[in-house]
Amino acid sequence: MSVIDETNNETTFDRVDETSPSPNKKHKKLFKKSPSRTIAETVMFIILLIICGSYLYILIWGFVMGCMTHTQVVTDPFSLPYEWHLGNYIEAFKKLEVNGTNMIQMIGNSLWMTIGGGFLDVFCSLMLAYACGKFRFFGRNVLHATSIVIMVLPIIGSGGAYYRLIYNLHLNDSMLYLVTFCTGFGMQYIILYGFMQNLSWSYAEAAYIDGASEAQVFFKVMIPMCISPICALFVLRSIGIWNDYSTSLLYLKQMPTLATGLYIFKSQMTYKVRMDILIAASMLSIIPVLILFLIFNKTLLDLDLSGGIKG
Amino acid sequence: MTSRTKNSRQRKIFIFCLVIIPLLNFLVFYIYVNFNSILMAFQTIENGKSIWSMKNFQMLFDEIKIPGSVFWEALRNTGLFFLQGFITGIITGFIICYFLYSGIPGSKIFRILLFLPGMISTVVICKLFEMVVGFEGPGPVAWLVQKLNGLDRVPTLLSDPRYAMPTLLFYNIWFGIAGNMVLYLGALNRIPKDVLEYAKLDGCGWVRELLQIILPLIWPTMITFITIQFTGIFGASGPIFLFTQGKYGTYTIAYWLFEKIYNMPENSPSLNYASAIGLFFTLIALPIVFSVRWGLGKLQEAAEY
Repeated sequence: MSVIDETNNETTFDRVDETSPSPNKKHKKLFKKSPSRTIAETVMFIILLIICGSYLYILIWGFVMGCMTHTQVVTDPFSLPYEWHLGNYIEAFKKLEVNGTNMIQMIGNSLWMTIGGGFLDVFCSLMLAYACGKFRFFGRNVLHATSIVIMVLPIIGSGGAYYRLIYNLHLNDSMLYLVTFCTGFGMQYIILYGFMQNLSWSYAEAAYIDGASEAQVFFKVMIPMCISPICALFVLRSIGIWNDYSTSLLYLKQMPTLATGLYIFKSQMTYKVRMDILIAASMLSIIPVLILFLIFNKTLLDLDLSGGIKG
Repeated sequence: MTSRTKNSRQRKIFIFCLVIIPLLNFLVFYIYVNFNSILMAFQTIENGKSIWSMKNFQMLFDEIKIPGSVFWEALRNTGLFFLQGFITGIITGFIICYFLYSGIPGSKIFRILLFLPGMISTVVICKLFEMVVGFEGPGPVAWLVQKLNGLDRVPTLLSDPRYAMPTLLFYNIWFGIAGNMVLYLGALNRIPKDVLEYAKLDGCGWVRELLQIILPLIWPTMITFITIQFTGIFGASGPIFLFTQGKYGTYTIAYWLFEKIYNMPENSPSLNYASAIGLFFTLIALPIVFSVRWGLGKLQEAAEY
């Protein structure tokens, strides 16, 4: 079919066929999955279902086991509780004690380590990333290259020297141990550096014009713009510190965290250990982490960790 | 002083304040520690005093000379853990993340659930896993192993030298199968969707899409993952301390070093021995890591987008 317009130009159109598929159907036909892809996706779905199902089962079973008696935990842990002892979760606060430290104190130790350590670690990385990402100064390239290099240097066995240094500086069994978290370098620096590089400097320039100082630009302009990766990294790091048992085991023996306390309680003579209390306390210890994860899971899973480490 | 000079000076002071704390921490807890670790490897403690000595390396080489020693057990098990970590962390993790990225049914829920083992304390997971596999008493997995292998008795998997290492490897695989998920998904999300649509229009199947389009596009990120994996080649381990404490043939280099430090006084010669072991393996790992990094860069050209 053709149309001649006022300027005598002829334009040809295809006849509209009312039996032709709609655009959506055409799209689906073009991008139809092959049989091999369908099979592969089905297999992967089944595998992931089994794996994720096992994670959920272990989690739920752990909470159910926390409601059993000690005898049932030892002899028949895979059945439903003969009697539901929800009081175990309250008794855990009273009965879980390690080296004279009760559960409340262990939670307190975990809290200052987690919040203090997480904050210092992320904030120091942020300071360094801001400096290297936004300013040119003497040694900038060396600092940045150092951060990359130390991630790929296979240093093994410096634990002995580190252990000796911590004890010689009397950082053990003290909140001063938090200074070890002021690292700055590492994966957090890389992520924040990548983020800083992509951040527009116009906002800072506008603030300078309005008379803001360097510190004001950093705290009131740049940090709010980076709040999403900062929060995600803080949550990730905090969860790691909350769950870490080996650091406290080596350097904070008189101030055990909850994770360390659970390990020490577990490793005491078997006949002394109330398994029901241990399981209840273990499940209580993961509640703060689960809550944090449920709140921040989208931020964590959408965090672009690869931008700063490309190549 | 002009305004410009004052601003420049203020900026220099500000930058100094930003970098000084991380720099000091790095100088003390990285540079000094590693430098001292090298020195400690060539020292030992006698009568409370530190003296220069090759004793640590003599002990190490004596250990190497004995065929069934802790050294060889630790090296073998570390190799197994490294291989397992490479396969699950790099290969299967990548494949799983590809399918999650493609949007298989339930991918959003799977993403959240696969992250769970990383969120929960290893102490808790290990305790529950111990009960499932059967440590102090038979567990369902141990019953399954008995049936599959036709054994007379239910094995105690974590306290039987035949099964302890395979059980630990299984633990690492099961709870670490999507270990690098966040990193991979971040890299995959950066790929322009148009490129994949053009490929589909041209009749590209999912295998070609995965190997010939997606992999080259995320290759620089992959190089970094693989390099970091090789960086930890001699640190590869499982939760040995929580499960077996090195018994039943489960020593790894990482646990061996940890054992040299754990509960030791700060002037123990054991710390010096740990430094010597660490220096030995560091010198072996260095050329491996740099060769791998160089080789990977030559293997595949990075696609820019």
